[in-house]
Amino acid sequence: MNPIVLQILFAAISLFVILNWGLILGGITARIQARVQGRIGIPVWQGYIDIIKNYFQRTSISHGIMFYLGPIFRVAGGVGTYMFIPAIFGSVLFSNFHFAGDVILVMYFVFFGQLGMALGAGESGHPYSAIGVSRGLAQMTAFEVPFALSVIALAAQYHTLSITDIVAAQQGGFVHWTLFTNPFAVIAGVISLLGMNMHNPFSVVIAPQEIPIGPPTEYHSSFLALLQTNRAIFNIAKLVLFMNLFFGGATTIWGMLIKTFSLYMVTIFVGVSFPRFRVDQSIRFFLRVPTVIGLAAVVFAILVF
Amino acid sequence: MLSPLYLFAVALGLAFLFGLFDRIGRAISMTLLYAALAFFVLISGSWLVHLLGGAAPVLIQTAGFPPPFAIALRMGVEEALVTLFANVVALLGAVYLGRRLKSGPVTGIVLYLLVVMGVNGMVLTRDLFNLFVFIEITSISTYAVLGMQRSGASLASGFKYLMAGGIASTLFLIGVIYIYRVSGTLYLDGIIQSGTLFAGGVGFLAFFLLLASILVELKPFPANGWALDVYQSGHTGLAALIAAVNSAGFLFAFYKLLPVLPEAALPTLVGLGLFTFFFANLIGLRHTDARRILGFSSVAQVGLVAAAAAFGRLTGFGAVVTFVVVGGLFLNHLVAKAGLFWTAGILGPKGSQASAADSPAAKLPAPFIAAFGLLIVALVGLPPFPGFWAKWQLVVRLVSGGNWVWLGMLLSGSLFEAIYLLRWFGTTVAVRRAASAAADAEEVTRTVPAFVPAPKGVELDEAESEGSPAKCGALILGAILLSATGAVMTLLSGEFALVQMLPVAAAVALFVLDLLPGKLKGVLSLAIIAAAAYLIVPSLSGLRWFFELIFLVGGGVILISSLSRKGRQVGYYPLATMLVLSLGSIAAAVTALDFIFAWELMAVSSYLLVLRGDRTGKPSLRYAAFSIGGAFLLMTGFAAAAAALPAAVREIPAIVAAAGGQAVAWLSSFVSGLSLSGLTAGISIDGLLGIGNAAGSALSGAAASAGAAPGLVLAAMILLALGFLMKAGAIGVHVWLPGAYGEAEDDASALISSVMSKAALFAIMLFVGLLGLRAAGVTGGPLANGALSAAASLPEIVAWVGILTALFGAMMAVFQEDVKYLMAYSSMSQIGYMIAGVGMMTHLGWTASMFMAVNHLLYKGMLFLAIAGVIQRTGTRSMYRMGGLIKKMPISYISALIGIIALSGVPPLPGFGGKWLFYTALLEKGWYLMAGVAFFTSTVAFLYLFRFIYTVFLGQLKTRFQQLKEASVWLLIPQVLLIIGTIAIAAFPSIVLTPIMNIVSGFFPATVRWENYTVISTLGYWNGSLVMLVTMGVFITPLVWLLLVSRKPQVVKQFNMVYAGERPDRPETTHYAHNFFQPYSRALGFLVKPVFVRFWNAVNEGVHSIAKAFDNLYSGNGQTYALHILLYVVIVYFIMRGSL
Repeated sequence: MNPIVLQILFAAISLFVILNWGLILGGITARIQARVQGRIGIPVWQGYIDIIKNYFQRTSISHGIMFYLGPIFRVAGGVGTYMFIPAIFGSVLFSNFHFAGDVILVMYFVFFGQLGMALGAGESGHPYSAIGVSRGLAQMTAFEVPFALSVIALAAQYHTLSITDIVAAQQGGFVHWTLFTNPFAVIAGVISLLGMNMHNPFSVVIAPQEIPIGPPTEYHSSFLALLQTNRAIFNIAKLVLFMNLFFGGATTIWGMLIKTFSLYMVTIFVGVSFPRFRVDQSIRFFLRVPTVIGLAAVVFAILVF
Repeated sequence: MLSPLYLFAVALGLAFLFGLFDRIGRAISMTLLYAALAFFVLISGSWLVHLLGGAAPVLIQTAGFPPPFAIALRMGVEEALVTLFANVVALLGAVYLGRRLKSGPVTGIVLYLLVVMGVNGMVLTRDLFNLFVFIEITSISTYAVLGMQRSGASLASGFKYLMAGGIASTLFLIGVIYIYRVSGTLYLDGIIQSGTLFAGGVGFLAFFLLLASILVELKPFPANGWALDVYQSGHTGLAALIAAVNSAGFLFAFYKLLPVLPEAALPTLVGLGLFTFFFANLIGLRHTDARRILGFSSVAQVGLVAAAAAFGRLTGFGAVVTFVVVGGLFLNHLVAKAGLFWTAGILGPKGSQASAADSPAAKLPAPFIAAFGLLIVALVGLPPFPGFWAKWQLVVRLVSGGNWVWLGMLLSGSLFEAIYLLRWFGTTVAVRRAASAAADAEEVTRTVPAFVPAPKGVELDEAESEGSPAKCGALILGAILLSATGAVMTLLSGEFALVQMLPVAAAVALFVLDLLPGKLKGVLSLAIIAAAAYLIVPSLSGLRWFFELIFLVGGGVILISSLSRKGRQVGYYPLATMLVLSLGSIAAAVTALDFIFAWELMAVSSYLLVLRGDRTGKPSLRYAAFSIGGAFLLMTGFAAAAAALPAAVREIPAIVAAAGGQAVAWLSSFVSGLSLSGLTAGISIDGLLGIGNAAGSALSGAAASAGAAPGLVLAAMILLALGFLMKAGAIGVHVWLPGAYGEAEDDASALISSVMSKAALFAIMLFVGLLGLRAAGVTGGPLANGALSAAASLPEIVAWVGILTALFGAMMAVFQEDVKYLMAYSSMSQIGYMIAGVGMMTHLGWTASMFMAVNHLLYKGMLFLAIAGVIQRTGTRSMYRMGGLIKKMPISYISALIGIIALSGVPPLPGFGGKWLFYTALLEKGWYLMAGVAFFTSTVAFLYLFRFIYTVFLGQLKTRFQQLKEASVWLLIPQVLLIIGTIAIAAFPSIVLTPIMNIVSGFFPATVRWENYTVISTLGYWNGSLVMLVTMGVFITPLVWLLLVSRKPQVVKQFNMVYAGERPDRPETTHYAHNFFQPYSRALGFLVKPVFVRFWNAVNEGVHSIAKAFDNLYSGNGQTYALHILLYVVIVYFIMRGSL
């Protein structure tokens, strides 16, 4: 078969796996959260039900072309991000299009979906959307700082920006994971991940009681279905990226499932334990201790490696 | 040849006969006056031609005996030149004063003629007592003519003048007596030849008294209160006469006396002149009355000419150097000052005030404003006027002589002068524009309130402030005369390529054609730029080629937008074309002088463009001040570099030498024995940087660095870096930037921000980057020392300045409500990245920087033009007043969208390529902290970009914009071109990256390589084409899917949305836009405290306070002024005595 077609086919398979894992992971964590709070919770396949239901909504409204394209941008952003990450080390099937660029590409491609979605939501004219975006962007500038520092520390440590090479450098037992070779970088990175995932205490962006779910307020029916699909994919894409950077990557699909699940549990654990920050509080938070930890990671990498 | 004696015969004869002729009719007297003055011009003019043709200077013996037995007059080139200019200005002045002379008593005409005659006499005579006689004739006629103006202030000032003149005359007379006693002759050449005058103490005292008299007449600070009062309260025509013509006489007298003095006395005179120059200009800052500031400027300029003359004597200027430096400064002052006094008169007492609400400026024709502008530009010392050439040569000499204090006084004084003169000009232009805007307010779609209410057509003092055609004509002729002098100086500069005159020539041509319709002129401008690009670009290579493309092609594309303008657009096209072409000249400059020349032309044209904006009083002045201040640093830096590096670098490339040679050959056909020796400072840029030629490659090694002065190299680099960082708007010196970018006309903002901003980048690459490289190369040699290694590490400091500029520029952009200020700060931020890229001094860093430069040109052009369209349609610049415009202006929206995606660095557009290169370069270099700051900065960019596109194009459409149309097609065409360019680069980055990498490989070893479509660095890789494909794939697939499942969603109205039981009332209250990032400001607002604005304001305040303290010297009391004079003379005596 033509290698390009084959590559696209592999990417589609890889994406399909990730989508399902993302939906199920969402269900599992929702259920765990419910149990923590003493409820029974939703069935694990609730994600599928939601998406199917939304596609079959009888009415569908649009506020304009950009509004229509917003979810497309979002999905493209999520899928694209995943496409540039090699999901399983050494697996051709899960290598995706990682040869298009290195970790800087992934870090910037994340913005593609966010920006497009924000624009689409903006055209709805709903003030809550704009307020949500304003908060989200403000918070983003802050949590990206420790993350960027931890990536810089990795570049200093491994002398490469290629995700594959970073994973390769962590092979040969868990003591080679970044988690153990440069724990500062991992701490800074994982704290950033909390911000990226927008669970408590960093959930003011979508604050349901205040600005009903923020940016996607006006989205529904098939638009919302697309956004939900993306949420599943994008969630896993981020987790896979962190797994690759900090936790030795994965050589098998089971390894990938376990590692991403565990990593996500950190977010859930923190999320159920803490109340919400105001935006300015979370900005200050990220720019203080996590940033210092990030700097420590860089200094550590320079001194040690 | 006509004997100069006719000057006196005609003047004295007519003076007696005027009474008679006047009985017949005033018209006869006036005709005779003009004829007499024209005759004066003829005499000196014919002598000048004769003498330049090779004739020997003539000594005219008045009574038939050789001196010392009779008075001798000398007619040499200097005398002919000075009298020619003085007579021309006197003739123009008579035209200016025409109506007044016509209506007053006939004595006015007589006195006017006598003043002019007296000045001619002062210039020509070689006899000291005769000099005294002519001084007296001039002075007494001047008092009398001042006294004819029957206002109290004028009489009082005339009396003060009389008093000062009396003291000076007394000193002179006593001096003359003693000189005769000591040397036995009053014949100047006799005294010089015998050289025995200073043998005893008496001789010095005698000569000092004489010199002191002349010094007092030159109105030195602080003994010049009397003169300032005369300038302010006398009729402007008379003030012009005193400032220009009378000063010519006294300055020449001073010049004549210099050879008598021993060398040891000269530094004192240089110091005194510059002291006056500095303080007069400092105090001038405090004043807004046009005549008062012109008075300060006159005093200052006379001091400067005297200082230059003394300095020339001290360091032995040759004939040509004297002409360019002393003559240049002097002629510049003579013509410009007279013209500006006339301008002040035409504008009237109200027009000369800063806050003129009802100035007659509005009614004056465009050529008047043009002439006004030319004279101001000339007086400030900008090219192509004589003052520029003079200042450059003077700076070079001061630096090579190590006269740093004098240099500081010269440059800071010049800066002060520039500020107050441009303030006056700027105010006048603003008033004029406001008035004309009010006049055709119906046609103007913009509803921005005018800066100043329209004039109400007040009745003006008829005698003083009427802009009659004759008056304006005199002014315009003066400006033309000065321009011609500037052209001669330009030819004389020798090393200077004529092609560099292209911007000026194009501007002049377009200004002459200004009556044509605007669109036609626009097409002409584009044609000129296209032709220039066609001719110049292929002749260049490397960095020059790259930046020439950016400047000319980028400038041309953006200039297309100006075709959307309606009406004739007087003055716009000459300036815009001049700006683009001067940028082209910067890239093509071969010598440092070329470079400075083009750089200043860019500053002038962009300043005037900014001035055309709506609310540009302060911003344009601030811009001018920083531009000029920066240019002075550059001049000094170049001069220091030339002084520091070995003589071998001063080879002038053949092509320039050839062009300069032609010019000189042409001039030689008029001037026999013309020799430019000593004139050229000859700093070849390539030679300086050690690139490209044999001399350079030899010099980059240690062997050729013998003779280099490491301290000076460091000083040169710091000065150059500071000057260019100022122009780049680096943090700390950025305070001019937002105003200049933001307040210019909307399409001009695009030009300035997207094209002109690269000039600083180009310059930093050359003169910080490559010069640093050279310094580093020299470090390894025998010269290795601290200064050079410091010079080599300068780029790192510059990189930090760049990255902080990027950070704070972005931060400030986040909190702007005005869309143009937001974009202006964004430009500042983006330029900061590029500077940081240069500072890395690696292959990747420079590649990143240049790649970002191309991108910035594209996206900032798009963004500013899209904004221009929006502002044109909505009539506001406040973003929160807009909203929902995507529905009305979809193409502008697409342009803005592409622009922000490209700017933010989101793949797949080429902004990401820039970011990728930049981070990779930083990480490769090991500058991790800077990489962190850069990443933070680039996320902050998302904030302001989203805010911009959301609050302008998305959200709620306001009711009053329901009928809005898409922007003018002429604005859209360049945007579409830029979009096509952006997409092309996104799909195939190599079309831009490969040439850039090749250019940079000439300076640094490459650390990146291409593998098919992938760029591979030591750290990572990036395949732009593949990213583009994948992005399209992941975008189109869900789009097709959505189109399948949700083909026809119901399109709803604006307010149809989920709103929690509340009903949206009006778009204004529903559009979340004002203070968009309030939480962000709560967390990080402390970062954008206007620390630097406060700092510069404090500097401004401080300077003004000091100026005020000195200004208090001028009490207006004649007795105090007399005391000042006496004290001044005594103090100068002791200083000079001590120096001998």
